[in-house]
Amino acid sequence: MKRKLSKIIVPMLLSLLITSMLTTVAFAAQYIYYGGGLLNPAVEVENRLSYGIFHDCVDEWNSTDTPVDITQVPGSGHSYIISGQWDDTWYGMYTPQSRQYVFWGRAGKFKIELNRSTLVSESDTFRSSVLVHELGHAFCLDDNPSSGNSSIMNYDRNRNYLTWPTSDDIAGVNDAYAD
Amino acid sequence: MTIKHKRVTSILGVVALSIALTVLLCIGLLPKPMFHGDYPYYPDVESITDAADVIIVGEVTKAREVKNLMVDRTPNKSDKEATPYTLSTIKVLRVIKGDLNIGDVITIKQLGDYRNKPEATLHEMDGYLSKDTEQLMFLCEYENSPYSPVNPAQGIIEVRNGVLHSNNKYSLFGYSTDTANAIRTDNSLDVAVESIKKFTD
Ligand SMILES: [Zn+2]
Repeated sequence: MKRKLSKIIVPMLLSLLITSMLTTVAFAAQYIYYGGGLLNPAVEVENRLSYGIFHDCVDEWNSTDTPVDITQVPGSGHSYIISGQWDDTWYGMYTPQSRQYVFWGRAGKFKIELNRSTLVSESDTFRSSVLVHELGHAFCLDDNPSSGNSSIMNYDRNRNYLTWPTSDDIAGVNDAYAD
Repeated sequence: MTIKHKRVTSILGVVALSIALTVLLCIGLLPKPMFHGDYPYYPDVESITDAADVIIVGEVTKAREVKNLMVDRTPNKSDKEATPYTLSTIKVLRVIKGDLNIGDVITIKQLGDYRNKPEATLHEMDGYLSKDTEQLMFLCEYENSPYSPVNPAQGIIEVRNGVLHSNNKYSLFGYSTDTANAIRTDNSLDVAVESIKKFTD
């Protein structure tokens, strides 16, 4: 009876041990960066905004000392930034597209939406803060970095003032694209 | 079957079982696709009260129904897409601001499919509503769409035995890092309602 029991328990424990080892290996590389950022920080983007803030916001990122290089292109099928009206409370939304492993992994391109319904009475400075934030997601930055320092990714930033990536944001992007 | 064969088969069995378990675990733990929205932030009770069309205490009578809703109202746009939302039914217990009555039943929408494609903040704070809970809610009203909380981090606070609880550090009510603090009177619903009512006229 005792032998029979150990015949079941020993393989089960062994299998759990192997499982935990395999899972650790599988996840060691997973959580290093925000998963939905672009694979390649040199990106072609279509401007479908009804606001005139595209160029200033793109310049805020292009002028940083990072591999970020945003080029405006005409046509369709690229990453794009669009404004519209949605029945919800968000100002801006980032959606990764063409992901590396279909449902996860870095993005081949992105869609950024700005909500005119919530931004209607805000200034262009405010709208730029939202767009520069959303572009931060495209370059692998997550919301509310734990450092607590000033960041374009903070929910509680002053959107009527902060419209550029801070030194922490720049360091984060360089981390994400270092080989 | 020889003893040697038996041993090989059982080793293979253990390995196969391990791989199967690993695959299952990985599917469960893989980073989910999520919505990343930039939402309004309210620094104080006055600003969140002004932003909400409706402020209520309600009981969640139905929760976690996922539906694709057409919330895109952009005029002259041809390729509009529906968005997944998690819906809850709320019975109104107390009206603090807005055009609702006690006993009314309303639907609220939370962005994302809570299981397969959640909204990042709601996912992190376990913020999708559960059935049979009581909640203090700051809501925005829409003509052709269910109510939305003013934002995921601050718009909904759970009420347990008259005391407010939130898992989000940005919440203006009921967030505390130690449990002893959480039962202090300044987290009580009645105190919160008093402070909100100062700004409702
Ligand atoms: Zn964000």
